[in-house]
Amino acid sequence: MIKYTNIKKSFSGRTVLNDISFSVAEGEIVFILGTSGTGKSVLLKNTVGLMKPDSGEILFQGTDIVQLNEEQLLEIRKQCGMIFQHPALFDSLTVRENLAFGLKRLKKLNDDDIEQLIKQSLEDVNLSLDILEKKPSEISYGMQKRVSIARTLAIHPQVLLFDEPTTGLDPVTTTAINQLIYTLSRKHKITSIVVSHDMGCAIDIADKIIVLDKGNIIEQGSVTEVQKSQVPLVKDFMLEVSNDIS
Amino acid sequence: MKILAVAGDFTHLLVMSFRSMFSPPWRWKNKMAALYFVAVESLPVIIICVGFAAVVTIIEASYHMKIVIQSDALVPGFAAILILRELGSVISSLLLGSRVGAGWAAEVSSMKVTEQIDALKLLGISPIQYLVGPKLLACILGNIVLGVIANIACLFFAMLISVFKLGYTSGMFLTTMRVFVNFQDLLFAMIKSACFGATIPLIACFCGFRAKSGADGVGKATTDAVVGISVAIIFLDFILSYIFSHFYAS
Repeated sequence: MIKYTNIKKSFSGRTVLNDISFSVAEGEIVFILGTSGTGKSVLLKNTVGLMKPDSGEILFQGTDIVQLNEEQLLEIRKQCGMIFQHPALFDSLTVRENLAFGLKRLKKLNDDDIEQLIKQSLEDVNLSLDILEKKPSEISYGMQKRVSIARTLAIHPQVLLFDEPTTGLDPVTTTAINQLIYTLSRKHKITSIVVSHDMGCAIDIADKIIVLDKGNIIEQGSVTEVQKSQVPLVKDFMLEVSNDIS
Repeated sequence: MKILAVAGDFTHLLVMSFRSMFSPPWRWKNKMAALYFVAVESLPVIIICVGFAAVVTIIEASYHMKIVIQSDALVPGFAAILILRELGSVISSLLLGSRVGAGWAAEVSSMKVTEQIDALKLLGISPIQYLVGPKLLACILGNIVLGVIANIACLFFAMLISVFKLGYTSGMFLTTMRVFVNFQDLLFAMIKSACFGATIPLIACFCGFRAKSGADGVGKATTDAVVGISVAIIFLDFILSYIFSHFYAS
C-alpha cells in the first residue's frame, strides 16, 4: 500500500533520514521505533506531504506523493489521517467544531450526517458527548488526545499515522489507545503506521517493527524477528520491556 | 541565497493572501471576529495615543515658531498638515502593529509549534486562506477606518490645545486648517492606512509560520513580527510620502 524507496532528508547539513526503504501492506500495523531525534516524525510527515524528502520516492497506492503539488496531495490526505504528537486541536473552536471541521471540507456532508459521524467518532474513543461544547483548554490533555484521534477517525481514513500517540498519557489511556489502534486495524482494515518509543506496545500489537537510529534503519521485521535481534540498540529496547514486566 | 528564499516565501504569502481575500470559502465569521479585534478593540488606545501626540505637536510647534518667527499663527495649519499626512495614519498603524501584530504572530506561531498548522493542511484547509486571508481583509478595512478616526481625534485634540493653551478660537483653528489641507490629504492618509494595514497581518503571519519550536520560538517570532512591522511601516511611509509629494507639488 505504501512503499518508501531510498528516502533521504537533511536539515542544514544534518542528515535526518538516510536511504530509508521499506513497505507497508494494507491493514498492517507498522511500528517505527527509535530514540529521540532519529527522524521518525520526519518520516511520517513525508508520508502525507507535510515535508518533502531531498531524494527518493514514496508510493501511496502506486502514486509517488513526492511529485504531487498541494492540490493533488489533498486526494492522498483524504485517505490518510494523522494523529500528531500534540493534540493539535484548534483552540478557538469547540470540540464539536473541531470534529466537524475536516468533515465539512473533506467529505462535504450535510449537517445531520456530520452530527452522526461526530457522535460515532467520540464513541470510538470512549468519550462522552457532554464535552462537545467545551473548548480544548477546558478538557484534560488525555481527552484532547482522544478528541484528536476522533477528529481523524471521523473522516474514515484508509491509513492512520500516529506520531507518538501515547506520549504524556496515563497507563490506562495508553492501553486504551493501543487497543484502539489494534481494533481499527483488525476490524476496519485500517493500515496504521505508529511512531513510538514503546517497544512493549509494539510487541503487543505490531505486525512489523522498524527500528531507526541516526536516520538509518538498523532493524526491521516481524515482532519475533526483532525480538531475536542482536543489534545493541534493539537489545536495549528489549531490555527496557523486560524491566517494565518485572 | 537565504535572503532570496525568504523574499520568495514572503512574496508567495503575499500573493496567496490577496488571492484568498477574493476566493471562497468566505469565512465571514472569522473576518468579522478579526475586524472586531482590529477596529473596535484597538480604538481606545489609538485615540488616547494620537490625542497626546497631537497635543505635544502643537505645544512644540508653537514654542519653536515663537522663537524663530516670533509668531505661532501658522501652528494650526502646519499641525493639521502634519496630522493628516503623517501622525494620524503612522502612529495609529504603529500602535496597531504592536497590539494586533504581536497577538497574531503569537497565535500563528503557537499554532505552528503545536502542529495545528499541519493539522489544517491535513484537513485540506489552506493555512493562508484560513488564517491570513480574514486578518488581511480586516486589517486593511479596519486600519482605514481607524486612520480616519485617528485623524479626526488628532485634529480635535489639536484644536482643544490650541484653544486652551495658545488662545485661538475653534473657528480660527478650523479656518487656518482649511487653508492648508484639503480632501486629497485625507484620501492619501486613507491609502497609507490601507497599505500599513496590509503590512501588519502579512508580516505577523509570516513570522508565525516560520517560528521554531518551543516557547522561545514563539517569543522570537513575536518580537521579529513587531520589529518587522514597525520598520516596514516607517519604510513604506517614506516611499508613499515620496510618491504623494509629486501630487502635492502639482
